[in-house]
Amino acid sequence: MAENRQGHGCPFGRRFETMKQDLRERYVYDVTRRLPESMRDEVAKELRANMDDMLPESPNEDDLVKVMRTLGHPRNLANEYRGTKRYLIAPEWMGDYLRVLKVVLIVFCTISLVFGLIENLKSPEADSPFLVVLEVFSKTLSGVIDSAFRAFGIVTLIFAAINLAGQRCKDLEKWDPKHDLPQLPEAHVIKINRAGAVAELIVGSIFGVIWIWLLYHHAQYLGWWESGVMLDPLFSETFVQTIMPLYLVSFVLGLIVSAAKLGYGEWNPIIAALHTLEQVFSIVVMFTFVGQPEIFTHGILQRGAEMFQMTSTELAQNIVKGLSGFFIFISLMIGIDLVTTWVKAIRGKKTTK
Amino acid sequence: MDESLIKNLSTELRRGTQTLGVLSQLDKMQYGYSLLQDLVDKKVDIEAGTLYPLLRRLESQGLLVSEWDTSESRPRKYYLLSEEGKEIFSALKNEWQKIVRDMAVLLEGDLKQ
Repeated sequence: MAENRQGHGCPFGRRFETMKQDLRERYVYDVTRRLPESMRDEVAKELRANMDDMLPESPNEDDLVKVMRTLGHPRNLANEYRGTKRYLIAPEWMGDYLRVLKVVLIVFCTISLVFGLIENLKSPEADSPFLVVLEVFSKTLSGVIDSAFRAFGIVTLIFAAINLAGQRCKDLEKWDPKHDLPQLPEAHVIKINRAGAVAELIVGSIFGVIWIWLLYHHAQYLGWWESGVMLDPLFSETFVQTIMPLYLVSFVLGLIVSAAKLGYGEWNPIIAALHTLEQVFSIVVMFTFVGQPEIFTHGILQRGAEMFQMTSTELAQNIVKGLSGFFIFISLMIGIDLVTTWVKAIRGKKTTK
Repeated sequence: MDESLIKNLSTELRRGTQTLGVLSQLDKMQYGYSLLQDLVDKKVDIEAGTLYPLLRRLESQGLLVSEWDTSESRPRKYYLLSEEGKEIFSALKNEWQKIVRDMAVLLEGDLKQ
């Protein structure tokens, strides 16, 4: 070993010498390129000297490989030389980062889902209903993915900036326990299932937009089809014109309530009030629906009447009766739901006081 | 018993002592590889990839001074304790001895129970 330490260089074969130099230089380069400019030359010089010291006399390529393995991966060695660890987002910020990222992703994706659906349904290029659905679905999906990446980028950039600023002023060391700690979460509030609220928001917006789109284009798609041609539209124009604005309002209310549930995360009187407003409004919409003097077109009633062997007036009356029964049942359900909602909201409030 | 966990924990335990070990050997001039051999001969387990950067860091912190020897066919960088380094080394040595005493009390107390 002693000779190695003193080592005077030894007559390498010329070819090996070149190869050795080449491999060694590549290693040195791979380490130093990861270092700040000011350190590079000195570290390179030192590393070369150290590597030569570690090689036995008349080294071959395997010896060089062994030495490089001992020194470790260039990235690790460069980190050791650099001394301090560098982070885009430091571990102490990671928790906050992930929390904010989750919320922002949900908001961005929901907004782009809703507006994407509306935008893409307004002017589909495909001509058959199936292709329209496919087109709208794929366009909207790519929009959602796009805004997910955008949300990710924005949040990451902001946190990287906070991280950079935080490293400079060492904010975490001069914190004030009296002012900086958050209030304890209200212990006995009744949590809203967030996954449920997200699902509600997504499913609600998808079906809502599809229904709005169908109503809007009802004259084209909803009706009596025979061998690929629509003969009679299902709904009368006056009916659609009355029900459309009401349904739009109800749809937006529904989205607001779901978003509020997500935002608050727990039942409280504000959510309960919004929820009540939405549900009562949907009852109004339902009974406006059946209260219309002319829901269906004459043409479609005629065809239905022929099929069921009754007059078209009877058919219309029966449909309205059926729907009314169904809507009364739903209203009862809504009533029960509203009572339990208020119980949850008020109990949640009382126990926190 | 989880062998790898024991290995991790003892590596962690030893890591803090590396600086002290290195400083202890630099009252005479040494270059990187000779110091490594020295430490290995004395059963101090330190890797080349840890030692060389550590020497540079200690130098930039002012604990070591260095000098290139280019008189021989291979240039070598020699390190030596600086005046400040000597003071810091002796303070660290006292701290180490205190740790040994304190830990001895804790560990022996454990044995008696």
